[in-house]
Amino acid sequence: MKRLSILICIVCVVFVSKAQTTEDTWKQHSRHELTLGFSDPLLQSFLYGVHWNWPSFLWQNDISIPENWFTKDCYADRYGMVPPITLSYRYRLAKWFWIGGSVSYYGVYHTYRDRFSNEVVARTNMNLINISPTLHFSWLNRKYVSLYSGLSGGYSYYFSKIYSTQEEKILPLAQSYWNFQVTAIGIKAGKKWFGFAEAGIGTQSFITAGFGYRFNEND
Amino acid sequence: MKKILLLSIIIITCISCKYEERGNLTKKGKAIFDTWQSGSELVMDNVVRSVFLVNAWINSDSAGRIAIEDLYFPEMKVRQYGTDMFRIMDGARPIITITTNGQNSLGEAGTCWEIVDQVEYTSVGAWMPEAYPIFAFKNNSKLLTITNTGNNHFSIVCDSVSYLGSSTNWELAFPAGEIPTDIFTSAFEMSGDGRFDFPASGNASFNDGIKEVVRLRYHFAQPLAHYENPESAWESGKIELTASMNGKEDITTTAEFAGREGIDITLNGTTERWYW
Repeated sequence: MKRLSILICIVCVVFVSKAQTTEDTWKQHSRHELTLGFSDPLLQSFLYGVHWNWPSFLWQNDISIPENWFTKDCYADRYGMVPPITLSYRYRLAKWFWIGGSVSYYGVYHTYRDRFSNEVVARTNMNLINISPTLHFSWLNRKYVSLYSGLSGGYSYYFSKIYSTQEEKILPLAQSYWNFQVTAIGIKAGKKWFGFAEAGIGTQSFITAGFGYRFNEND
Repeated sequence: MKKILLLSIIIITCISCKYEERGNLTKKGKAIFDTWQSGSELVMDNVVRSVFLVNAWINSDSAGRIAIEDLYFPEMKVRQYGTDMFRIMDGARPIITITTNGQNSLGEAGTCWEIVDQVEYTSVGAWMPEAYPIFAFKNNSKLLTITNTGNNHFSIVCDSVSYLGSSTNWELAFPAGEIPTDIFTSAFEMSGDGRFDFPASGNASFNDGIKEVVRLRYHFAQPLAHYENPESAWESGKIELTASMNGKEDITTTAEFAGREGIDITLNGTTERWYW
């Protein structure tokens, strides 16, 4: 993975340096960028088991097994989900090169009710927070549009509260992991305010889209 | 900027959907009934029915015996050992052994047959739900006695021969006349009671000893009436089922057959019809 990341970096740098045909007045461009992106949760679900439908395999009772007749017969009433939301900041070191960091959050929440009384038995949640430094390579820069690739790697913190029907109580769980995200291609369009969409692979997502704001120190 | 941020967060956090319907309130009662049904079918289908077929085989001429084997035991044979022992054989492997105690016709009042089911169930997926009733009888063999108590009534007794204490105490009542060859295609009534015991899945195996046992006791509050047509087994009747586990609270449910439509399950005072 490390080698692959380095290789992608080198390719991007070489490609980008060739793509920059002029040493133009890039410093006139905004050097700070703040973005808010929303992603699909598919890969995160696979990697961390943070599934929007996780009760089906983590929690629900199989009452066809006789010993489970004596535990609460509950059902997962509703679920709420916050798909991965990422807040990123980037600083432009060169026309084609940005460094920065991002924080993302992904959460799934459930309410469980007793099937018979319909009373709420438990409210549970699963949460994942990623914190990563990021590198961006803008390999095509036009007035309103730019194309880019990127890399990030950092740390994820996962914490949850799962209801156990056997023990009839909520069980807390906390774990941490390394994370990564490779953005194969991304597009930004706009001026100070801009929209973006990107495709890649990693703990954050396959597809991310959102909006951002560019500014300078003296804005 | 602030408004857009706020709006986005509100929109995203409002992704909230119905995950699962509340469903039937008697789901647990239905699970208990299903377990009773699979356990009782195991006794009825594998053992009791076979015994009546063997009775017909014993009391037929050679052509009749071949016809019964071809129709009901196409991959097995019925063989006689000595004067009063009959076996259903799967190749060289005995499946069921019947000792007739010198009374080779079940149709005679007072006849008492002893039956040993010799199927080894140890290879069945140990904790699959379907296997529970099987384990209820697991002790290498299970012993039933079938006795003609007169007037075409038969008592079927399996009395705690297993590790766990499962038992049946049934009475089958056939209409007057000859006893049937195949009880599946016969009208009859069944009454009585019994229990099935199941090891909790936390137990490693039977060999390690049973630590936790789920006990399902039942009795027929109204006799079960069997259809003459075998497409659906029971036409009417009512079963009261009580489950308990190592002193934990009892769960009581009632199952009443509603003809070909389904079964009415009552749990905690709520009755629901479960359609077949």
